Amino acid sequence: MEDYLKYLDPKTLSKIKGLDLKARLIIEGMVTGSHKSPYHGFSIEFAEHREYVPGDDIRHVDWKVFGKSDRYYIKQYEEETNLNCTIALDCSESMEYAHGEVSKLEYARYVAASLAFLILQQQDAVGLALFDNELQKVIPPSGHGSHLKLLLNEMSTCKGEKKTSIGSVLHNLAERVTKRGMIILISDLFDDPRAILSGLRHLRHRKHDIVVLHIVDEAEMTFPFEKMTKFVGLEDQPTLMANPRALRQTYLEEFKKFTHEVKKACLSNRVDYELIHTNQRLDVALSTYLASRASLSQGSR
Amino acid sequence: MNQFVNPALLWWLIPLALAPIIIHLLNRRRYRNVPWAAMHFILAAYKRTNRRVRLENLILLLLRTAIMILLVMALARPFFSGGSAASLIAQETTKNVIVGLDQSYSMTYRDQFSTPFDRAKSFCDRLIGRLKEDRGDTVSVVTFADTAVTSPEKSLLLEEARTSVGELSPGFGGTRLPAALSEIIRLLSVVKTNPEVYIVSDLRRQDWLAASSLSGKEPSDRGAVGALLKQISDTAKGIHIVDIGSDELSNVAVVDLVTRDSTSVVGEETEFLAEIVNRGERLANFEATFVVDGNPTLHPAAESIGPGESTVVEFRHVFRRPGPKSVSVRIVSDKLRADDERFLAINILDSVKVLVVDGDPSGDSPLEKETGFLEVALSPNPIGDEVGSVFSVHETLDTTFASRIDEGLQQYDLLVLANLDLSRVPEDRMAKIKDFVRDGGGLMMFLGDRVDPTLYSKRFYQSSGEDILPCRLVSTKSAPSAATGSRLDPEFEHPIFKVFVSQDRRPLLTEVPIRQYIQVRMAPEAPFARVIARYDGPNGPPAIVENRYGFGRVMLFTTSADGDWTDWPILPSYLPVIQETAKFLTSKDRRRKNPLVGQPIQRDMDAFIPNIKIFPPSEPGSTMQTGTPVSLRALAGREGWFRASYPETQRPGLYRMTADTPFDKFAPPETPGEDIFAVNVPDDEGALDRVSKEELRQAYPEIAFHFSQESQEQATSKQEEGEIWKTLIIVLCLLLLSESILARFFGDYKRS
Repeated sequence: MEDYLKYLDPKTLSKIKGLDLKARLIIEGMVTGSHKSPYHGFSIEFAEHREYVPGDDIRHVDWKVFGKSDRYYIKQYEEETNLNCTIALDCSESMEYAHGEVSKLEYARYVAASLAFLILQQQDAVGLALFDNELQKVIPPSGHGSHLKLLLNEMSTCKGEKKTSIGSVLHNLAERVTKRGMIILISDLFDDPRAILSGLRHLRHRKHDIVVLHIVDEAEMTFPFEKMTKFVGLEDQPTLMANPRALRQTYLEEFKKFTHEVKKACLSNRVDYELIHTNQRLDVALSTYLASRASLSQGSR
Repeated sequence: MNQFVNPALLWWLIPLALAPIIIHLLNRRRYRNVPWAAMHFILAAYKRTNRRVRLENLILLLLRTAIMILLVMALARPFFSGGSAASLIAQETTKNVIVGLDQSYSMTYRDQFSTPFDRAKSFCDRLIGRLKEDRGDTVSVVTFADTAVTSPEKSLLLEEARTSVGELSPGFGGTRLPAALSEIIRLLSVVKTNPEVYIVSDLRRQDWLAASSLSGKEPSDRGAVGALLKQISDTAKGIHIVDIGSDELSNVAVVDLVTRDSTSVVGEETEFLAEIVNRGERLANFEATFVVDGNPTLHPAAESIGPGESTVVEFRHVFRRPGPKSVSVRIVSDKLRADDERFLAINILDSVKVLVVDGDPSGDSPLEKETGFLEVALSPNPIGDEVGSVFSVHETLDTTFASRIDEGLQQYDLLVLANLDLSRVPEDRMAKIKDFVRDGGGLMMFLGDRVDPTLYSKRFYQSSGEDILPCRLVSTKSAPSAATGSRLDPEFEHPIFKVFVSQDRRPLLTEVPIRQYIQVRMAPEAPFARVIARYDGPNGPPAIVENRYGFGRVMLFTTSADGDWTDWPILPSYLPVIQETAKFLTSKDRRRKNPLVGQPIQRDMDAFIPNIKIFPPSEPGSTMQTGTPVSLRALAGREGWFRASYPETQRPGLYRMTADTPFDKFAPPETPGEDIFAVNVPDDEGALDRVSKEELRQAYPEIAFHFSQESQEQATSKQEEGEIWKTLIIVLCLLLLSESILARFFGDYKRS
């Protein structure tokens, strides 16, 4: 059982083939690690009885009560509505960057796959939106078990080739996903923060709950370079020859400023935000989702 | 900045100065490509930091370049010579350097690092090293002690000059600064353009400031030195004084070695007196060792002398055989060794031979003749028995005196002329009498009724005072009172009266009645003449007159030797006065046998002696002694006489002169000729008191001195005068420190 824990480490996962297996291993590992099963409390928990009215499904009639009182009562459960969750996965070129073994895109895939697996396990519906500078593919949410295969397949085949344009993509997504639900944005957010903010606001306006999982490479957070380096910009950005030591402090300031700005914008719009770097264990991302999900369910009560 | 000690290193200046720039450029070429997503931030950071980073890089680059330049400069060792702006301008003009290098024995003072002479040599070496042959620079080196020698003179071959300076060794002479300055002035008249005069000296006070003349040297008074210095300073636009002296002072020196009595005879105790001076600043202990004819005797008592004090150590010895003898005294060697030993060469006589010329041999009894009392006084034993007497008296008459002269007077030590009628002595013999005195013989002269004052004055007197008699004989004079006579008024401190110096004995002399005498008139200029007794009071006419002529001494008694004119011969004071006078007159002037370093050894001989050799004192460490042949040359004006001369007396010590045959006609024919000479260092050179810069400036205010110090530490570390490499190294260290601090600061600043 303990062995499952290792599958939370992205490096270990990268050696395993098949996104579905990876997702399963992540979830199993995570479940093993927690004391309380995430299955509990969703859709099967009894809440109260109410009198039967014509049109109710007779499958929910509590026959034991009928036997005692000769009246028809219906069993009512805690959650009875499905969650519609859409995972928006950034497939731009910048996501392909990897300082270590795992690229941001790869890491994002693990997160997305395990989330999809988890959501389906919980009997909720999950959909997928792949984007770079535009929405590449949108798979509407579905709660069928077979739906996972489709999602994983799409995820693993996408390639980071184009520029990012998160703002416009989010606007598009807001138009496309009409049914109110949860949007999980997995991206490095390398775009204009104001555009991102505008997209998120649009989604909020559509009453979506939003979780932003900000994936960055560890090198992008720490800037560990020492010697003379020629930085070749991805996504058509310019090239720069520089002494990293001379730049480090200012770079880190700029980076912090950016993440701070994004985080502040998210929080002010009641968007859950988590900064995750690619060396982190995957349960961080999942816990963020679960916490968000829990607050969502409490909020709806 | 004038020159560099290692100019070849300057070739590295540009490559090394460029090194940091090249390294910077190479570093820029060595980079790695990194595909980067978060380019946006890098660009923003680059935009923000670019100017500051460029500035920091520039500062570091300049610092590193400066470090390399300073490093090369420090290794090339630049120096400022002269230190004046004029010397900077004169950088490329031809230089003619004249160095005066003190070679006296005070330069051998060994302090804890080296000797002043070593430092002087190393200074000269570096001074010549700075000159450039291709610029036409010349160097002249004047080494000076007793004399000043220029070698090389105005040499263009700087390397050869350097080598010859390197081979110099210090001498044993004393410093004679005027000679050196005169020589430098001579050189200045040859060297016309850009002369630079350096005097490398230990700056002894007595050389530079002494007001009195030094023994045996020309006056070194301040005026003469000042005039010479002024002349040099005016011609050469200043004088560079290089002080290489030692600041510590400790020197105990033997400054004199003499015998108490001037005549030493076989079988009699000879008493030696050695004067020892502490010239240091602290109490000093010493042990004196006397060496007589090569046999050392440690003086029993070790003594101590306070600073600046002197003491006399006594030593007695009885010589058993006559002949030339040597005595030396030495003390435990100190830092200045040259004056730790002193030598004395003396002649031990069998007896003092006196030739008495009786000018009035009348009378039958021995005491009636003119010289009767005199002879008894000289040889108080029973007549004929000379055993135990210092003097052996030989008598001759006025008639036979000429033939005695022809035999040769040099066999006698003392000649007594008593009431001699000079007309009986042929005039041509006078020269031999004078030669006898000049060579060191004593002459005692008594007058009387046979003396013709005019003839005496003619033959023995010159108004210049340069003759045997320092006074002209005028006429016979009788005492005012025939009964009491004139009374003597002697100078009791004179050696011949030393027996009567106590008050109770004085009347023995002052009560002597003189009835008649010959009045004399002293020459206006007679430097060696001294009236040691007068008649009737201190302003009376001269009674006894002393004179020096050549190496000999003369004593004139203006009255008679017998009882004709005075009763003195029968009075008790007569005998001691005659004895003491005879000893005084026969005391040899020892300068001839005891010259100073650098003065020639000379010996006159009355015949041609072949095969004369000199054995100089053995060099330390050498055992073989080979004699140096000495040639004889005829003495001008003295027929049959020759002079052996040996000038190479650069080392102190005993010089033995030998020949197969005796040097003198009257010596026993079978004995080989032998004589000993003692050469000593000048005693005052060991006075090491130094004169300070300020004192020199005060003493010679009109002279432009440029002082530089060649201190002991500097000499060992080869510190160049006017060099700035130490400063460069300090600046270099500061730059290195600031470079590393700045680099760290910039780096940390970026890393944080």
